[in-house]
Amino acid sequence: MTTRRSTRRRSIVAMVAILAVVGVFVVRLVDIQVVRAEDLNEQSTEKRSVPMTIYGTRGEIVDANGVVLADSVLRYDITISPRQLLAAPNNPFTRVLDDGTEIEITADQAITEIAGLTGQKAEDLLADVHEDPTSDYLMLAEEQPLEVFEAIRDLGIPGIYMERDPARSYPNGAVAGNLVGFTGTDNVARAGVEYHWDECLASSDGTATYERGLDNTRIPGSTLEVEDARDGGTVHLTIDRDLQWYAQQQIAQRAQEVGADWATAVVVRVADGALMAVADYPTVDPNDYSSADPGATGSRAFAIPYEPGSTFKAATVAMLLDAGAITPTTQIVAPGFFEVPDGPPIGDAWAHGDLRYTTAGALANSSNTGISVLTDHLDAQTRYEYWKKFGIGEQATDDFGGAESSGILHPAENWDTSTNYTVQFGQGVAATSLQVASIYQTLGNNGVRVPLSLVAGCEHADGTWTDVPTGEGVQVVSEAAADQTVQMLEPVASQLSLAPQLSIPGYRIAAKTGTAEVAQNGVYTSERVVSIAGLVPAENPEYAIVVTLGQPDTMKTSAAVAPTFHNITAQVLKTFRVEPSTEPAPDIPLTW
Amino acid sequence: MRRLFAAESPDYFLLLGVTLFLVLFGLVMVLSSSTISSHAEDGDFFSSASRQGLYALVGIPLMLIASRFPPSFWRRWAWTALLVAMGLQMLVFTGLGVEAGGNRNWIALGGFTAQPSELVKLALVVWLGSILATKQSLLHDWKHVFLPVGPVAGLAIGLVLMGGDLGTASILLTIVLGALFFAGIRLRIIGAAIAVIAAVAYLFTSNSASRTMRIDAWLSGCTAQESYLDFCYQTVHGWWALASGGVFGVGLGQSKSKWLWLPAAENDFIFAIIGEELGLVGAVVVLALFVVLAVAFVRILRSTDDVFERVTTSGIMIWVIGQAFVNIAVVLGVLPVLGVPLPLVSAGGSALLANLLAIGVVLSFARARRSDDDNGRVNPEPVPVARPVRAPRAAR
Repeated sequence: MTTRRSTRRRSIVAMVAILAVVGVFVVRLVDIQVVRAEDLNEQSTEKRSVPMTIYGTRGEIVDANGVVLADSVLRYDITISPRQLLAAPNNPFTRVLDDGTEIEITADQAITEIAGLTGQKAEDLLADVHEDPTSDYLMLAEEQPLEVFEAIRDLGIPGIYMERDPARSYPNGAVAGNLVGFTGTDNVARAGVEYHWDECLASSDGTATYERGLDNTRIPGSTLEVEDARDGGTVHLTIDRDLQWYAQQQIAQRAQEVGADWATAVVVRVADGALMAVADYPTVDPNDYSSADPGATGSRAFAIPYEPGSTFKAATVAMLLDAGAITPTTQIVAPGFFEVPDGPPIGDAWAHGDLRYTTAGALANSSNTGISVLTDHLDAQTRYEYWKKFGIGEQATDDFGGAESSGILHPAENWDTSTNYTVQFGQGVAATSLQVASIYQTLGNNGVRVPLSLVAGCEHADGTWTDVPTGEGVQVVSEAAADQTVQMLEPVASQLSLAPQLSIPGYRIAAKTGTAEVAQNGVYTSERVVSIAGLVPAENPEYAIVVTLGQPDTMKTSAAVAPTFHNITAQVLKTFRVEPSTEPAPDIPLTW
Repeated sequence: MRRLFAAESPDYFLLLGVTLFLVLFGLVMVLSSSTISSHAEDGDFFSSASRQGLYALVGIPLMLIASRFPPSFWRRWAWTALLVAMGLQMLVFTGLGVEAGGNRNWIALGGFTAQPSELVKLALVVWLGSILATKQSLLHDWKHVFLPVGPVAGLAIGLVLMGGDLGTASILLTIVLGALFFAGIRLRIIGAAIAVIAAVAYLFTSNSASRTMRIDAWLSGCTAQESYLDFCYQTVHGWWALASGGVFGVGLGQSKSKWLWLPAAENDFIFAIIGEELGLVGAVVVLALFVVLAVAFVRILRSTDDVFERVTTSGIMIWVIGQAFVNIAVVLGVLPVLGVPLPLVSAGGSALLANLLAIGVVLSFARARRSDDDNGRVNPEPVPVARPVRAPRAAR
C-alpha cells in the first residue's frame, strides 16, 4: 500500500510538472505568435520577399476602323558576362545533347552560335566579348523576339542573362508610318503620334513583392502588389488604313515615274475636318526608322510648307465673291502681261494676247493676269484678313503638336507691289499640304473652316474615352461664295485640257491645278511644285483631296499629278461608297 | 471468444484514441510540410508523406497486435530485446551504417533506412521495468539500484552517443531517471545519480566544439540578426514560422517556411509548421493532446500494483511525453537544437513504429487489468436495486 501511495504522490508530481511545462510553452507560444509576431514577421518577410516590376503596357495606335498601326510586344535584351563565359571552368563548357552525348563547346563557338541566331556578325560579337574579358556586363543584342530568346536559352551558355524589354511593333510597317511615328530603343517616344500623344499612350510600371522559397521558387499566392501598373490608352486615329496605303502607293509610284523629290497626298472629310489619309513620299517604316531618309522620318504634309501656286486662286475668288467685289460672271480682260508698278510684269503659263474671261474663266484656266485684274477689286489688308481666316499662318490641326508648320504669311503691310498680287495665286506665301487641304475643306463645307483632326480620341485602359473635340468652325466666306467657287472649279475636270484624265463617269468633280515656281536662294528656278486640289462630289462636297509632287524632273506641270489625283479620288469614292451625282453641272460661261 | 469481443477499459480507449488521432493528424501535417522538400529531393511531392503513411499502416496493426500479448510476455523477452537492440545499434558503426547531418544513427537495409536507437528506447524501457520489478524489495539500497541498471543503461546510452545523437541519448537518460522515479526509488539516490550525470555531461560537452557552440548560441539567445549563423538558423526560422501563423494560422498547406527555409520541417520542426498553418489554436490543441496522453498513462500506471507494468508504463510515458516536450521546447527556443522528432506526429518510420509498439505494450497492460477485473476481483459491495436517493425526511 505504501508503493501505491508513493506512486500516487509521484504521479501527481509528474502531472504537475507536465502542466507546468505546458504552461511555459503556452506563454512562450503567445509571446512568439502574438506579442512578438509583428516584429518577427517583418524580419521574415524582409528575408523572403523579392521586389519585382509589374510592367504596364504602352497603348496601341489604331486607325478609324480599329486596325492596329502600333502595338507593344515583348522583346528580350541579351546580355553576357564575358568574365563568366571566358573563365576557366566554363571555357570550354560541356553541353549534354538530347541523345545524352556530351560535347565540349568553347566560348568562341558559343558566341558564334548566338550571332547565328540574332543575325549579327560573329566577328563583331567576338571582338566585343574579348575587348574586356574581366567585364561582367556586355549587351550582346537588344530587343530580340521570343524565338531567339528561347533558342539562346536552350544553348545553355554560361554567363548569359536575358532581360525583358517591352518594345514597339508596327504591324503595318510604313503604312501611316509618317503619322504614327516611333519610339526609340529606350522606349521613349520620338516622333509622330507616338510622341505627341505620349500622355495617352504611356504606361507606368507598378511594383510588387512576392515571397520566395530558399531555392528562389516563387511561393504561390504570396504576391503582394505595392503599386499598380497602369496600361496606356489607345489612340484612335481618323485615318483609314487601306486608303492611306493606297495613297502612299500611288504617290510613291508617280513620284518615281516623274522623278519627283517628294510627294504628298491629303484626303479630308469635309463635314468635320477629319483626315482620312495623309501620305508622304519618301516615308518611314517605324520598325526600322534608323535606315529611313533622315529628312523623311516625319510627315512632310504636316511639317514642310512650300509655295503652293494656283491652288490658292480658289480662295482668292471665294474671298472676292464674299466681299461682293465680283460675281462669277464678272467680265474682265486678261492681258498677256499684267504690269506691276515697281515690279516685274506678271505673265501666264502660256503665251496669249488679251483674253475676254469671266471670273469663272480666269479661275478655271488659271490665268495669273486674270486673277491679278480681279485682285484690284479688293484692298490688301482685307485680303490678308481673309487669308488669316482661311488658316494660312496657323496650324491646321492641334493633333500633331509642334511637328506641324504654320506656313508663312507675311502681314499685308510688308507686301511689296508684286507680292500684293502673287499671294493671290500662291507665290510669295507658303503653306503645307494640310493647309491647302484645309482651304478646300472650307470651300466644300459651305465656307465654314473646321480645324483638321488626326486623332478621334484616346481610349483609356479602363475603357473610358477622352474625345478630341471637333474644333470650333469659322465662317470664312459665305455659303454662296463657297458654293459658287466650287461650281467654277468643275470645268477643270469636265471641259478643259486635263478633263480626260480627271473625270470620273457619274461624278461631278471640282478641281484646281497648281504649278508653282520653286525659289532657291531667293531666285525662282525652273523647279516646280505641281499639285491638284479638289472636292468630290462637287454639288455637295464630302471629301477634299490634295495631291502634290515636289520638283518633278520629267513633267513640270500639274498634268503630272492628274492620273494620281484621279486614282486617289476614285479610291475615295469607292472606299466611302459616295453616291453618284444626280444633277448636271451648272453651265457658267468662261468667256464673253 | 468473450475475451476477444469484450469491451476494453476506458483508459484503453483513451490512450488508443489519442494515439490514433495524433498519428492521423501527424500524417496530414507531414503531407503538408514535406511536399516541397520531397519534390526538391527526388521530384516527387508525395514521397515523404506516402512513406509515412505506409509506416502508419504497418505500425497501427502492430500496436493492436502488441496490445493482445500478456504482460508476462514482455517481461520474459526483455533481456533478449535489449541485447538485440544494442546489437543493431552497434551495426551503425559497420558498413551498414549511414551518417546524416553529423549523426551516425541509421542503418540501411535493402531500400529502407532504420534508426536502431528507437528500438533501444523500447527495449530499455521494458528491460528497466523487468529488472526493477525483479529487484523491487532491494531497491532501498543504492548498490542494487545501480547494478545492473547503471552499466546496462550507460552502455545503451553510450552506444547512441557514439553515433553522435545527443538528442536520443538525453531522451534515453530521461527515460531511465523517470523509470527510477516511478519505481519508488528514494529521491536521495536519484538526486545523486543526476549530480553524477550532470558532471559527466559537462565534461562531455566541453570537449566538443560543436556542442559548446550550439549550447552557447542557445544560452546567449538567438536574435534575427544572428539568424544566419549556424546554430540559430533553425530556431529563428522556427520562430518566424510560428509568428506568421498568429492566433488562427495561415491555413493548412499555406506555410511559407516549408519552402525549404525551415530545415527538417516535416520531422524535428513539424511543430513550427503546425503553429504556422494552424496558429496558436492548433499548437495549443497539440499540447493539450499530449497532456491527455499523459493523463491516460498516469491513469493506467496508477491502477496497477504490478511494479513491472508501472515502471514500464511510466518509462514509456516519460519517453513519449518527455520527447514531445523536448521537441517543442527546441522549436520554441527554450532548449538548444537537439534533433529529436515529435512522437507520433513527425515523419520518421523507425520512430513511429517504436512509438506505436510501445503504446501497444501499455495497451496490453490496460487490457490485462480488465481481464483481472473480470476474473479475480470482487465487487466491494453489492449495489441495491433501488437504493433511496435521500433519507426520508421524517427520519431526521
